[in-house]
Amino acid sequence: PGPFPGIIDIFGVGGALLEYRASLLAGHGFATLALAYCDFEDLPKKFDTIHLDYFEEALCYMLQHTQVKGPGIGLLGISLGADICLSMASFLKNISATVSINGSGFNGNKAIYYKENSIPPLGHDLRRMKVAFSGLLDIVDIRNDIVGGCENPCMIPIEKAQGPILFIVGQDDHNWRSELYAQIASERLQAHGKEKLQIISYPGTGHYIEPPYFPMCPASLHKLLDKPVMWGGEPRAHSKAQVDAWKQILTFFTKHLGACPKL
Amino acid sequence: TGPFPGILDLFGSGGGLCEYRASLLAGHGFAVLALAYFRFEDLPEYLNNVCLEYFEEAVDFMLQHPKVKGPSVGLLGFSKGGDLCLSMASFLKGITATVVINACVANTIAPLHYKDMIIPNLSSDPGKYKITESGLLNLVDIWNDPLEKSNHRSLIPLEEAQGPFLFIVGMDDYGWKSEFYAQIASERLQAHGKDRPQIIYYPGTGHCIDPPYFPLCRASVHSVLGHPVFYGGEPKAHSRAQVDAWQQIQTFFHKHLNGKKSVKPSKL
Repeated sequence: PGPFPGIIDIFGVGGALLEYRASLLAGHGFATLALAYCDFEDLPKKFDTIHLDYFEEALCYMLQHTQVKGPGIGLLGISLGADICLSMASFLKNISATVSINGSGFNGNKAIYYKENSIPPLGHDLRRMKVAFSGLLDIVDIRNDIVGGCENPCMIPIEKAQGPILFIVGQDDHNWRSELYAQIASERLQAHGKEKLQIISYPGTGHYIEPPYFPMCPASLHKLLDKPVMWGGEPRAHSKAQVDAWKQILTFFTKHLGACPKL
Repeated sequence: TGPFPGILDLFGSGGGLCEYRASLLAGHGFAVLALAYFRFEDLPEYLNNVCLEYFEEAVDFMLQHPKVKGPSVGLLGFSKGGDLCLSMASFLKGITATVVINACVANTIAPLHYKDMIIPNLSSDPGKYKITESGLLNLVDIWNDPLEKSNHRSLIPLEEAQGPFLFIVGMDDYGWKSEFYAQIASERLQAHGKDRPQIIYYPGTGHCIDPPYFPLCRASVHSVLGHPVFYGGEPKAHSRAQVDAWQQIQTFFHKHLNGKKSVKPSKL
């Protein structure tokens, strides 16, 4: 069979190459590229700027691949990876569908550049960090306020994206306020006369929404802070959300990328 | 762009369809079939009488698939899936390179049927269960000794298999005595004048050996028993074992299905 609709899968600030989600997606009829961008092989260990050229190269690679069915590619990202996907969708062409898992829609603390475009970082203040009884850090409020709502210059201009966007949101996300960010993203699209943003919001669900039946990760070492940080989520609700979110993601990509029938 | 060496991946007595290992292996140049055999879609709800013909059909499906490079496929099995793989390798054609993770050398849990042959499951004494301090079921001693005369018909005749074996063993396995079973397998093959299997023993490693960086599952509610069962494993050692075992498994399959000597190390 083939060629297959293509998806690029991007993870968060932890870096390295995580292939498990892309591998599982590939079993559902998609040609998936798990794309590392940091702390892997010859990639930099740390970085202050995100150059979309790197991601554009990955996009072009997919589009010219014989096993990938064009004319557009899907994007799937979580956390910082989701914001990278939203940036790609806003600035690059040939993207047919974007799924953001607990993305913020804003540039956080790096500078994002593409050719002559750039998005300034929102910034954060570590003094707003909270410490739980367990000693775990709660960083949900360290990001600076979004002055001006959806017209804040640090926001990713998602109204420029061609294809539809799906926001998967964990209401109990303690990395940042995902539900609030999704609402602002929705307002932005409305303000620019675009189609409504599709948002699926899960109660009791934290930051790391993984594939179904993966154990919930309640806390782990934050790559940038180098300290354990809580991600939020209550096990039962979060686990149910993982099962449902996966179905929603598959349905979304099948609908907008035109997947082959299940192999 | 294919065709690729084929592998069938079987999980254990929890049932259902677990695709995560097969999916990851597929990213390393293999055509992998994650095969469910109960508690999934129209398959039986419980492990009762298992027919090897079902697995034979899967092997044939792989061998005639245009993307699968013949003339034989590899097998990867965990726990109950492991002894099923050993039975497949012993009785079916078209199988080479079999990797089993914490497998028993005898057929377990349910009788196995193939043509007019029935292999009884290894007898067990459920009364020999223990409860850990935290209230978990420790089942390591309920399984009777496969070497006892009364159990000899449950032993799988591995010497009938064509291809080589790799036994991955967690030395802290509380599911059953994986280390002991691997040794029985080794002696049986030797006694029949066959090559000994490759056995890799991982200290501090429990029953549930998953791909690298998967969290250690020391216990879970067993989907059939409905009660939390203890599997063993010490986090650091077990996690290291998962990383190493994954490399070993790929190397073994590349060597015997592809003719390659070694594998470029990859994280996942």
